[in-house]
Amino acid sequence: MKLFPILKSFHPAQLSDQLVAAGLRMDRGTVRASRAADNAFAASGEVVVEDDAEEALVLAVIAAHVPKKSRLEELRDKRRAALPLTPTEQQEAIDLLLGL
Amino acid sequence: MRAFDRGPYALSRRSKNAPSGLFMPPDVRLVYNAVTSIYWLPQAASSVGGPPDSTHRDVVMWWRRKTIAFPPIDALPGAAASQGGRFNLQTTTKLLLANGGDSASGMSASTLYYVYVNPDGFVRASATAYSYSWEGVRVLGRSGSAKDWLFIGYVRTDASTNFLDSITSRLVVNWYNRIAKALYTSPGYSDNNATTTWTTASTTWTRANAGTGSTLEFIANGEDAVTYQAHHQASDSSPTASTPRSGVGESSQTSATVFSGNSVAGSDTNVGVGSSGRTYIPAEGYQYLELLARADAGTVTFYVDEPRNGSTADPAGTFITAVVRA
Repeated sequence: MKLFPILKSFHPAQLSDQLVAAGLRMDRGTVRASRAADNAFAASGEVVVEDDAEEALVLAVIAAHVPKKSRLEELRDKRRAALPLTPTEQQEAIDLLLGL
Repeated sequence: MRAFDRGPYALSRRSKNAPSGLFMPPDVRLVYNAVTSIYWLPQAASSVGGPPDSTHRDVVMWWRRKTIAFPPIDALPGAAASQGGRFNLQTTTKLLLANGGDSASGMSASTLYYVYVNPDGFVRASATAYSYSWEGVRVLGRSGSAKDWLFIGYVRTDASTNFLDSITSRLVVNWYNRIAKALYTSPGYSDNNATTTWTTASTTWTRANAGTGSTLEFIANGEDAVTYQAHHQASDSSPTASTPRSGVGESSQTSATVFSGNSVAGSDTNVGVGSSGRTYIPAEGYQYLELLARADAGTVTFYVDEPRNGSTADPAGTFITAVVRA
């Protein structure tokens, strides 16, 4: 397995999805992360990929990665700030929680 | 009155662990000493895994009408010669052949061996499995000098030809006077007062944390049950709805025997839990338990540990633990 340190803020699950989308086999790989509690973003971690993974491709995906909160996290942040959700947003939150 | 009828170990002759006609003191066990050395000596129950207890130096062993006196703690044998040492087995000690003779070499890497002791207290390993003596005792063989070698346990060397007896690898195992030992691993655990995670995007079972720290090893004796339990905390990733699953492979890195899943959609900080485990009797020999993971789709995130919040160390959230006899 090859290890690539991540030295920037990142979203582990989104980065994993982006590695898969870039064509990397992540069946046996992983994205490791260390982060503050209840924080979707990590400050440090590493990508573990198969030995035959293309190094340049992994580094390119990591470099291009911009962490973004999920839609549910955005809606939750809004409620935590005591802001009301619109009816559309409420339905959106319910659908996300239901996995729809 | 014979020696074994007196003293604090008189009752142990009737121990259920001792075959008929064999006096096996209750605390004489194979004990890990160093990566290349194990001892077969009395050991206090209060110092399991530690050095032999000096208060037991006068224990007497009876086997094939011969008494073996264990040495004082300060007179333990040093490095064994190539022909083996009394009460001591080293990875370099020549192996026993099936007929009781010497082989040309010591142990190989990643190999299971059967451990024997002779009436003089010499401890040797062999690739040859035990036979049953006419009295029903497990010995190296039924004829010649092979019948003098009593089977007392198993060892398995690691990839560096070392002995291992740790919280993740119980590879020094007694046949007599077995005790329950713990196995535990939390793959990726980091005591850094922060949340530690790893992901998987595999829809088929794969090793947790890409295979780092995901394995518990042991030697099964073929008759004692093994109990294990796996637990996970995990979330799926937005926008893909997925169900994180953990499972346990019984000596498999790709096939789960038990599993649990939790459905927590849409958020990477909205975490659910799952737990699975069972009790079974593994086949005799080297076995391992592998913590496995998979997703339905997209990426799922497993939470290894969280900040201390008053604890002395980060509490673990994803782990596998087991109890084995060794």
